[in-house]
Amino acid sequence: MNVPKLDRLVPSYIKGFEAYIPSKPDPELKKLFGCKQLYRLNNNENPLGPPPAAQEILHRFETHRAAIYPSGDSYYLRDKLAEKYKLHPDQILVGNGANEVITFAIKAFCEAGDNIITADKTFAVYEWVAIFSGYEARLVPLKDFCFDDEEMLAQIDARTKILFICNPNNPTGTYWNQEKLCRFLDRIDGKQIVVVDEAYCEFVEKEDFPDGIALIERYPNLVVFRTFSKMYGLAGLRIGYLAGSLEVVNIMRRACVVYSVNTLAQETALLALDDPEHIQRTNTLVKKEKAYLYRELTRLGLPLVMHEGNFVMIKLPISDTLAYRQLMACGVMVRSMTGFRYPNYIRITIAQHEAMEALIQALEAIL
Amino acid sequence: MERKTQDISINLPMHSQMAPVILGAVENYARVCGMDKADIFKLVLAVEEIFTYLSDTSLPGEIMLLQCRYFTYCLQVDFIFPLRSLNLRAFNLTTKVSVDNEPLMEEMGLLIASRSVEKLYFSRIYPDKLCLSMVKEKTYPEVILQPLADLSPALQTIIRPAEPEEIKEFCQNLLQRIAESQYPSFFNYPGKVIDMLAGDEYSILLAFDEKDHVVGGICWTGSQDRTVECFGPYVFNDNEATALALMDECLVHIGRSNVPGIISRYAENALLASYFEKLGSTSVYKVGEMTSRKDAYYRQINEDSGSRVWAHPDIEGFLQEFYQGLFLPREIRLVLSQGEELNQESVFTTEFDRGREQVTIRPLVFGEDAEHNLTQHINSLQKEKLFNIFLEMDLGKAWQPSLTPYLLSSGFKPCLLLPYAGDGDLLIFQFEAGDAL
Repeated sequence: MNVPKLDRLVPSYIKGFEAYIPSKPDPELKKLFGCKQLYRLNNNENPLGPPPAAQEILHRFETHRAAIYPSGDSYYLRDKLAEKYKLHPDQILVGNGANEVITFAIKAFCEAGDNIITADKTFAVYEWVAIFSGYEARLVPLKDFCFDDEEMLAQIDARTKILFICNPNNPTGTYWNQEKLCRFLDRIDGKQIVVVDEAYCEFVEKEDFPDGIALIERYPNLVVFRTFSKMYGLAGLRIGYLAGSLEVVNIMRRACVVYSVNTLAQETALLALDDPEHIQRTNTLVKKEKAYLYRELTRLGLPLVMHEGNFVMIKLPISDTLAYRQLMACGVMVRSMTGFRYPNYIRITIAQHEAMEALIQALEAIL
Repeated sequence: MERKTQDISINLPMHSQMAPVILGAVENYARVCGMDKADIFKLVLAVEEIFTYLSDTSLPGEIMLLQCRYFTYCLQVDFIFPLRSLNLRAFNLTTKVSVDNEPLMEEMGLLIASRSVEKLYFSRIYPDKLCLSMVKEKTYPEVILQPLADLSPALQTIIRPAEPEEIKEFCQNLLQRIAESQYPSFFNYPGKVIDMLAGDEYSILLAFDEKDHVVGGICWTGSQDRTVECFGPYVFNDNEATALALMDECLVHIGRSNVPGIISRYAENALLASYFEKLGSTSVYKVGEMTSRKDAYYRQINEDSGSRVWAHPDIEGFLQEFYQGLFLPREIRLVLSQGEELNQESVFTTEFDRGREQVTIRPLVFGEDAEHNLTQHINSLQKEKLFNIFLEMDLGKAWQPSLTPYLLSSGFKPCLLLPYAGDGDLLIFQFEAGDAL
């Protein structure tokens, strides 16, 4: 059989795009790097796992239900989220992780010739989805590790459809406060969709940190992304959601893939929302271990970028990708940051004390 | 990075009657691209020789795809043709040509072609097709050195892409302030550098002081899934912060891509320690004598999640030591001869870089005569005054490590290993002339 004529079949924006290669499963990595134990400090997962009630759902799941389709639009979860945030259930779309809801937004609003605006050093998926869908991604450099509101506004033109703000920003942990966000939205004046990705909002305890969902009524062009992967410890089940005005969400629903969220994810997420103590426990751990890391990394003379969120960035005096391999050999998996456009930085997920100690020991050994 | 080429492609029968069609197309294309008469003559001569050889050895009805691509400083012609009938042996550098032997006279054409262009090599190999590529560069005038402005350490440095006149200023500074061994020879031709950058195959960032003088720069080449090579960072006002900023900016440009890594063979060691890992070193021969050792540095761009490599037992220890030293996770699988029948004839392709007096040999087919063929290659290259002889072994291809014993006994030694630069890691052997010279 002839090889398909890919040169003719593949759009130019796909030809120029490189696939993301995820890392191998832990057992394979342990074998390759020769380490017996592996502390995962690379994906900002919650070391405490899901809240206990959600764990109970996982234990109790009746296997015959695996043969039955889930609710196609996460009916009960949307009800619960609507009640919690005082929204109509139709103002919420649930997706297979926040990554999927990013595609809902871009596919719903962009067409050939359009562009989106975001930062150069932030969560990469906004940029990737735009590019491999054939749209321009305009990347505004961070200013002092923070999204630059003025430059983002300056980049807008007639073909700009969406502005993505990661608040707090992954990987720097900086955030726009309520005043700055509202000022930005006022200046946009409803002309574009503004997406505020709040994947790490539950880790922020600052009083001036804005609650994006509470601003939707005032700004109907505002769309807020949230996830169950970080604070709620459900990364393995892939579930996230967006919230917006009824008009905007009704448009995005047209680009939404139904039935993409499995039954277990929907039911565990439903119960995870009911456990405020889980958030408290997690934040206590994060606060304590951040203080430990700050002390130890300062002792080692390593500059760090530590703001909000369950992660910190460390500047190394060696290549971050070399450090990644050396730390892997010590059983510590971090995120190397050249790919985030931060050469020689690594990002660390805050985890239990044992893992943090292992990290410090490994850093001492390799530097 | 997408190349801004104005490509043409022609499907045509592999028959000598078609020669005027193909030659006319290539000649006119080269003229439209602004190539001068002498360069066009050499290019057309090479195309004619290759097409004649390929059409004479083709089967009736076979079709070839000819592609011409323009990269501003050079023109590339690709011949994509069925593999079936081709005598690959003819592509060995050392193919013997006898005036008494008509079939071998045909192979003389390949030798003529290889000497008329800068590069002639198999760029891609498919299960049933081959792509033979030739590259003809334009001829450029050498730089005329001019007085330089006095530079002091900048209070404020701006890094940005450069205009053509600023690139000329960069070349002037580079040639007069930096040791010759620290940069490749193409910087002697600023017009060529500007055209290389316009062709998108190369990129450059320059650093400017508050008076808008060029105080440094970094250049790199390679894209997408190929290993990138960087030249620099070069700094003309002794400002280390500028060098670091240039290196960071280069990595920011490359960072979010599938480029496996970046190699540096032309920069100061002090800076490299915080960005690169030393891969090894190569000997530099000039006019037959070893003049220096050149270190090669490397940095991965993405996290290495491990891979499998094929190796001959003769080289296993070297590889283990190398991989352990750089913490590269590799599963080494040994290849051993079990008495299976081999091709009678081996085939190597050869890529020349005459500016560096350098040649790179790549194995195409493994055969019983590999050792003899390698020796013949070395003799032939040395007669042409080319003493920097390298051989690339792709450890992702299970058949290639079988060459190892022949390489070692022919005087080749492993000198560098480039992670993920081929189907797998690329092990570079260098022919160490030793007393032979």
